Amino acid sequence: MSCGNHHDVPCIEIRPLIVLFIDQEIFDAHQLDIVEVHFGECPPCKNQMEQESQSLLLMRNLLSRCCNEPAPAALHERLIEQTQQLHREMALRMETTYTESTYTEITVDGQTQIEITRKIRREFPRE
Amino acid sequence: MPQILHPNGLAQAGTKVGIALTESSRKQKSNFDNKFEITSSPIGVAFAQMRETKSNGSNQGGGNQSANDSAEIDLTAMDANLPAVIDRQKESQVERTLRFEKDALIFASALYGAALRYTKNPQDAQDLVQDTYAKAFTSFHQFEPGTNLKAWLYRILTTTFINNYRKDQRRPLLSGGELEDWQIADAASHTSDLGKSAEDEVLENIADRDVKDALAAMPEDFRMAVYLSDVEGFSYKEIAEIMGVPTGTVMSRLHRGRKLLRESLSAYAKERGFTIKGGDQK
Repeated sequence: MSCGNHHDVPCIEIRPLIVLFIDQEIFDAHQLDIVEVHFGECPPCKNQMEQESQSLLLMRNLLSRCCNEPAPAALHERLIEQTQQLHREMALRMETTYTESTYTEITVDGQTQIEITRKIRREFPRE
Repeated sequence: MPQILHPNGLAQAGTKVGIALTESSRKQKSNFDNKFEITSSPIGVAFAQMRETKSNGSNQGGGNQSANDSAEIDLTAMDANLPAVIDRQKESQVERTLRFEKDALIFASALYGAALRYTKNPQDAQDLVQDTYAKAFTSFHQFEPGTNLKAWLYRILTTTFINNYRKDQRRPLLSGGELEDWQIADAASHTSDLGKSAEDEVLENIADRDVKDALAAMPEDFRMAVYLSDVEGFSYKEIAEIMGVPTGTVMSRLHRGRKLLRESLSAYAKERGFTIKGGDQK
């Protein structure tokens, strides 16, 4: 199917790209450029793109309108409960260790001394 | 005298020592500074202060107020821009659970919508979402912060559905039988002979119930692809990851699915007696 006019890139090569263009799935800048230039010089292809785009938009609106049921409040509560329960179970299976290390800084003249103790907490699953 | 210091305590100690140091001990001072920088980065301090605020419930003295405030501001900024800085090795289970509750549970409604389309049944959908979150929680340590959490959850939802929910009602790919057969034949043989915009006009009047039925009657793989793309707005690549198939397969499922859905909606419209001109009901 062609509009009869000559284009650098024939319509037949552009048509399969129309849906990708609408879905914003053309990531190659050069290819995107080719498609856009073609739309600029070929009204039938541009027209088809606009129609398909409009149809898709309508379909998306229909779908979104009917598919927006919120999750029941009870489900949200159960999810929070479940998370807490799993957290407790997981905490039981975790072993916590503390590593203590001390580090002393003394100035050359011995006037100032500082001791730093660091306590590192680690958790790993009990095997 | 050994003592345990908080990283923000360290900062103060470091300052004091720095003042006390003499010219001759510059080398040692710089060593100290290096170590100090390694052990308590600003982020570490922010987290330490956050923990302190949370565990104590109140500030220790007025002097801490501004420090805590700034730590909270830092955290907000971090969440928005740099979620990848979360160190999963150092994160405690408590912190991970908090992060899960904050980041993952907000997708419950979105996942429920998808689960409804997958299972076609509110009870199964709720169970599926619960199972999904149970799996997500136990493997949350494997999720790489800063990557796409929503897509990760959808992937768990989808694989859980395929493995656990579809099995007992496993039927041929095309659910229902003859309806899809003619739909596919029809979709493959010709596009609508009506003008597209006229058809759009008819479809605008279609009832939600019919849209749901048309979606539910579609083959599962097509239904998932269309839902993930046209309701959830995932890219082809994301859908490929969620469904565990190549991008090319997503494209063909999505495009065939859209076509099927459109054909089937037109059929519903005709059944309901919508006429093409004006979209009136007979």
